[in-house]
Amino acid sequence: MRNEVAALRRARGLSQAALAEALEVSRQTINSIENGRYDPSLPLALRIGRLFARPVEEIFILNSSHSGLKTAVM
Amino acid sequence: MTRWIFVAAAGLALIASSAWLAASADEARWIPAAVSGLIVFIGALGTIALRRRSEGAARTSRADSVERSVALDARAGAFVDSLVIGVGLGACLWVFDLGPYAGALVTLYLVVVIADFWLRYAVRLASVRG
Repeated sequence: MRNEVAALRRARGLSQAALAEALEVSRQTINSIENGRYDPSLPLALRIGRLFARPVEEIFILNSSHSGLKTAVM
Repeated sequence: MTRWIFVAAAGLALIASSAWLAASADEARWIPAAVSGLIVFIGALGTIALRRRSEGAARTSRADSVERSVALDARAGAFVDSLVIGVGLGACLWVFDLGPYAGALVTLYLVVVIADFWLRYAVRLASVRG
């Protein structure tokens, strides 16, 4: 899963530490999310979306290998 | 830094009390033994307090932090390992008469399980670092 967290953070002029403080997580968490090495929990993803006033699916984008949905459930 | 100073001070105090214990006459050994126990007790409480303080400052123990997620994974892995090793250890203690070495073996078991957790934690945390 890729994400736009780093771009949105820079656009707001926030440091990783400031964003971490706003989201009540560690700075390492923000760093790991931005590098795509850690997928945030759903509550954290929702908080990130709320902070940047964007829908979660605009911030977190599934890679093509994970984006297939079974048509049977559609 | 404060944590390491505290751990070093507790370690030195424990070595000193152990030396005192070794040098004491049999009837007076309970005093250095009690002091050693007190040092271990205070050391454990102090370490927990310092860890809580540093976790609070860095928000590493918050529910959504990567460190907490990694710690939960490491805890789960170390728990499974502790069960496997524990069964082996139990069999050893049941089959062999280890006498005075049984206590040392159980202590070694605890050290291995704790080291297992921290090793898993360090490796997994390094893998999620950018």
